[in-house]
Amino acid sequence: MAYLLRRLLHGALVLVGVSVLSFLFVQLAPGEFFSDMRLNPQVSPETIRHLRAQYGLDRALPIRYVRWARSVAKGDWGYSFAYGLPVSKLIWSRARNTLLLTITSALLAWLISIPLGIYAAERRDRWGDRVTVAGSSALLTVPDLLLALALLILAIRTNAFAAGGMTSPDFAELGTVAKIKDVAAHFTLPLAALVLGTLPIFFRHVRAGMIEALALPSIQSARAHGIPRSRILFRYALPAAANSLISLFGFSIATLLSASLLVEVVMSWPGLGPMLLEAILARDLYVVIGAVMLSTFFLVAGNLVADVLLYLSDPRIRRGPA
Amino acid sequence: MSRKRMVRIAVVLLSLLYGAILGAGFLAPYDPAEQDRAHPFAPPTRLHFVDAEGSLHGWPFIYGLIPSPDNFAEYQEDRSRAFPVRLFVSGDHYSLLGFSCRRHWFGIDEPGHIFLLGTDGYGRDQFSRLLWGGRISLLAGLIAAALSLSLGMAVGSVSGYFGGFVDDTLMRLVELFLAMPWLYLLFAVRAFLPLHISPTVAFFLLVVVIGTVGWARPARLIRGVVLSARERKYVLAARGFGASDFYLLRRHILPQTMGVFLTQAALLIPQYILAEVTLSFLGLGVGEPVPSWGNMLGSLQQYHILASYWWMLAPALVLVPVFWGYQVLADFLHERLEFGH
Amino acid sequence: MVTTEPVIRVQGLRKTYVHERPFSREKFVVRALDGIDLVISAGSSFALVGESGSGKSTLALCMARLEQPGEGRIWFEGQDLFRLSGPELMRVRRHIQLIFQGTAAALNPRFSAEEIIIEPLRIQSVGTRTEQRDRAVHLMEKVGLPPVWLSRRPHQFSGGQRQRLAIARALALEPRLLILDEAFTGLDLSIQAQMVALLRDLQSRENLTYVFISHDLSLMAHVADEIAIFDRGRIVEQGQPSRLFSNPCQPETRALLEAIPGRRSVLGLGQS
Ligand SMILES: Nc1ncnc2c1ncn2[C@@H]1O[C@H](COP(=O)(O)OP(=O)(O)OP(=O)(O)O)[C@@H](O)[C@H]1O
Ligand SMILES: [Mg+2]
Repeated sequence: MAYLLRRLLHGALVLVGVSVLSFLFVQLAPGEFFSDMRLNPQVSPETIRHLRAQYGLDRALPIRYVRWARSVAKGDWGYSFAYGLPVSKLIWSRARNTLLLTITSALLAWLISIPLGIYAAERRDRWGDRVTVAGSSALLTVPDLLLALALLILAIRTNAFAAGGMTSPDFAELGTVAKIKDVAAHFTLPLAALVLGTLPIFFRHVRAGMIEALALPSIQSARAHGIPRSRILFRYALPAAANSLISLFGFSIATLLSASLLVEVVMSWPGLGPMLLEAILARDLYVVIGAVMLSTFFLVAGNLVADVLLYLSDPRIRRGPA
Repeated sequence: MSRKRMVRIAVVLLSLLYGAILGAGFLAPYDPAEQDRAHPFAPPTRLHFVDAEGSLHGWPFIYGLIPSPDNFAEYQEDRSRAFPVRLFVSGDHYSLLGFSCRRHWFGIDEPGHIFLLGTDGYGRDQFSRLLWGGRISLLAGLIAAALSLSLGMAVGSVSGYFGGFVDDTLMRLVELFLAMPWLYLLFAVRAFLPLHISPTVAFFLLVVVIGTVGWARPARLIRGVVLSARERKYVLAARGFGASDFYLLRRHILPQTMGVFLTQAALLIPQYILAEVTLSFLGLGVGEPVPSWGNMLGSLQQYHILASYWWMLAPALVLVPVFWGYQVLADFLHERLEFGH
Repeated sequence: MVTTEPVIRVQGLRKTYVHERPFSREKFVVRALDGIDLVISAGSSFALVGESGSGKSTLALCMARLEQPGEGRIWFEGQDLFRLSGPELMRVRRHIQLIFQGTAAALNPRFSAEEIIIEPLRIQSVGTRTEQRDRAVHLMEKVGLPPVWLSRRPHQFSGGQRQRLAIARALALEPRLLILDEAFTGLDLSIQAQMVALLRDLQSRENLTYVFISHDLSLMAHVADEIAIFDRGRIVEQGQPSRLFSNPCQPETRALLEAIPGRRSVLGLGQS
């Protein structure tokens, strides 16, 4: 239990660290949301000074940080300059869409890569393995950006999938079933881009972990004793590879979050990505910090889940420092 | 294909690519910023060997291009005017190793145009821009990786060699950096830099940003190597001869990080090239009029351009051989150097 | 014999290692050295004999100032070893040389034999490049390795040849105290004899002191003029070989004597 508490504390520290780091970057940054206004003759310097005071931009960095932390505690996550709204109001629906996309693609990618990885490791250097490895290597050489663009071209050319956005313009008038269908049609493309982009990475990871497990002396000797192949695979090798599979869980979240940022922008999926980009271009600082914090939070949460799984699967940790 | 041959091909391919971007001025027929308003979105020029009368030519030639009077960006070949492809022609100025030159690899006599990869919306030659843009993108990858690796090397070796409190602090920082999704981190850092800057400044800022974001992983790996290397008996033996910390690091410990260093370089460089391309694609990187593979792709955010003018995808397509080459290298180095022979 | 300053004087040396189990709070303490007192006079050949894990190598490392003891002091020619620093330490490092147990690990696999032999010379800035090279050739010949092998890497040598390479390196700085941790283990008898002859020859010409470490009592009886029997971090018995063989006082010594195959003949040799 102490182990999990320690991991929890560590995750919290990471979040605090990231927020401090973000604020430090703000300090170093030239220009802010209101500096563009200064060029506007219709806005008096008085108004700008007033606005800056209202948002607390005239204060010292530590004070701003404390204020921001207080607003996080209240659940506001700071204010957006551009929308005049609490960041949390803006961010939640976006975060939901990002999660929908990343979690579905993670599940799909695992569903494909884990059996495939096990299969390839089991028949290492044989025909089946060579083909899958070559396929994954080929996919790995296609950058995410190209993959997303190519899929978009395919969609536009064939008209088979809805390209761009999450819903059609007439979404509001559709019935429930049609609504779900509509979202699903929009969903296919970004999902495909994410799954195809991350699949080779996951596959390689699973395969390497399994190969390592199969090479363990205990499993080699089980083989020598003539225990059937499937039994070796599922009763011995899979548990031995558990650690690497669990670590895949943690690290796939990081990979997917980064990949989805780009895919969302290219395919105009209304997730955190386009919002972050817009906020950067508008210098809407707290929105930027909010999006970064949220993505870090997802990551930390994912790693924590992986830690819990590891804790459950690995008796050494459980028996450890009580 | 045997492993060795594949590595050899990868090295040759990468050398050719880097050679091409270094010789961009000579290889490119046009100036990358030169606009030709009469030819927006012209398709790739076709090289012909057989003329209208059906007779075969030993040397390729092209036909003139007539914009369609009704539709924007539609063209027809003008069969009445043929232009042979000429080698070593004199054209726009460029500078090579500080010398001003105007000799180009190939070209076409006025008023013909040769667009091997078509043109963009301003009628700029995509082939020339691809070569010049590669300078920005490939160089950004190299410099940023060098920056990351030297940071990682410094942090990793100090951390691993001296251990203790310094090690603990630095490793917490590494975990912090590793805990963030890197593209978000990249965005966040970029977010706090000025938006409108000259392309040169943008290039250097970009390189610095990309380079500083990625130091954590190499730092952790190098720390691991240093940590195990400093426990070696021959390090202890050298200490027994009176060796200083600096000597031990230089002669015994850092040479062992070479494997990790090179493998990480082969992994980081393509990743950083993609980072530059992505940021410039989204308008956060190097901007007009300087071409980079990223900002050349930027216009594809408009779906109609993406759907109609496939040659605009060329900068994304050249990333494939670059990625392939580095992937082969990385796999090879990983097996060969990190796990010893 | 006129009492001169001993080469090594060890007093109350203690060293403990704490072993931590991974994933566990359980710790246990190993007393590698548990109160060692020792005097080694100049020009002598001293042997430390004890069973595996008794702390011999730990003592060797402390004497070469490569390991910090928990308690106690060591004087080298009257200088307190653990108080030295800077140029003085540098000078002492030159005079004390240790040949590590398991020589393969003590030679950097990336170095050539030449680089290995001249490394101490380089670190101590002794001689010019050509002088260093000449010295390397000379040392190779001395330990019976062909100088043309100087460009080879350690893995291209056999185990015994590597040991000789390590001896050559240790001799490069012309030390006054040479500690040989299991330096003869694994060498065949003729090479052993050759090495012993080489060391004897060196000792007679330059006033060298040897500390041999081994668990082979019969071999030590042959080369040493004083033997200390080591057990669990302590010296349980000490004396001249003939005395130990004829009249062992401690059970540990007797156990070591039992372990010698064909003991009688060796006994004869020890007493001669
Ligand atoms: N670096 C270390 N860390 C932890 N424990 C150590 C370390 N070095 C030695 N020990 C422990 O100290 C004890 C003495 O070890 P030492 O190497 O001195 O024995 P030894 O007499 O040289 O044995 P051998 O004849 O096998 O070489 C052993 O129990 C060993 O496990
Ligand atoms: Mg030992």
